[in-house]
Amino acid sequence: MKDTEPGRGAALAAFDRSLDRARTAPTIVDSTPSLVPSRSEAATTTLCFHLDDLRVDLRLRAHGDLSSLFGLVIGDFDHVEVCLRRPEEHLRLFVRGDGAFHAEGLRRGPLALTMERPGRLPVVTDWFTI
Amino acid sequence: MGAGVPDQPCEGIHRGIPRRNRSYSGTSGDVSPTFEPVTATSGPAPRPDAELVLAACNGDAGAWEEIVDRHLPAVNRIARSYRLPRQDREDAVQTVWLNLNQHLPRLRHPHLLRAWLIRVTRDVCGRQRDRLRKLVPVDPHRLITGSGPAPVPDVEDVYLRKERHAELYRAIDALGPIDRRVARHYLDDSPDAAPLSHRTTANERRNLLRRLRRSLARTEPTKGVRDP
Repeated sequence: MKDTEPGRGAALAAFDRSLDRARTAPTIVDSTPSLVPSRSEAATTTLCFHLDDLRVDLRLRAHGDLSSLFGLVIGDFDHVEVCLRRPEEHLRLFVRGDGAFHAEGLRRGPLALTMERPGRLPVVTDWFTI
Repeated sequence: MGAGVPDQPCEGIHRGIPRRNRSYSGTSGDVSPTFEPVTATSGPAPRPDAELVLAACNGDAGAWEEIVDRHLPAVNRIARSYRLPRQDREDAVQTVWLNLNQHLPRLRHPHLLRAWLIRVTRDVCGRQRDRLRKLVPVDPHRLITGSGPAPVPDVEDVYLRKERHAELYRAIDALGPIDRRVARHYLDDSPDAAPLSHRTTANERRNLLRRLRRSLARTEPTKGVRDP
């Protein structure tokens, strides 16, 4: 009976205590896509997170079943590492000197970001779906 | 996201909660040396949510499994009520549990875990539904996958879309004042618009859509091409 409850496997697999020390980055903007005016435009979702004295802007663009992610770390920082978390994998993203980072070919499903700066605890965003 | 609760470690909340004796005699604290008949109602009493949360925070995967088995049916019921496509519903439910795992050490009221899960499930599913409502189905053969120039919009498509919009707004204008107000709120997709559930009630939306469908289904005698 228990095993037949939909989503049980995914819910059990969500158990992970490795980031308990991390802080949560508050979500300050979360806009679902506005009505797509023509077929030539992809739906875009905008998210924005606070990371101490920094701000992280994200733009997710859906292209059919896949999405691309464009991010920008705004503020004064020396080095920040951004890791893209999916339930099955973690992907470290390259952050340019101007704070830009991106990822493409993202399949649908839950996604979250982890951000680390030297000498500070890691910060995680809430999980959201693409 | 809607899950935001301030940090407060589990240990500070749960001081003094006694650990339940795991004997299987049916009475706490007693270990029976001989077999007792086991009835459907005997066995250890289920641990309260607060205790399960604390145990899971300490790495007890069994406690997490109990939380899942206890609350997943309710989460699924709520997700189904949003009438999302199967894959979107599964994604939403998985997102809820990932967020619970992440917020577990920071739950301010772990004894109210069910309420937390209900609220987060509604937030996630509502967001998913709003996102799907605002997406227009796209012919996959016309998707842009590279960085080439955007295709020129098909003139007929543009005309038909404008016609549909005009017809919709004619039908809205023909509604009563209350339905017109609900329709305005329903169609408001400006970035600063409040969530749909805050602008209109479910009953209002149902009534509006029913009346609109009836109105749009009435064919005007001048429309269409007569059969020869």
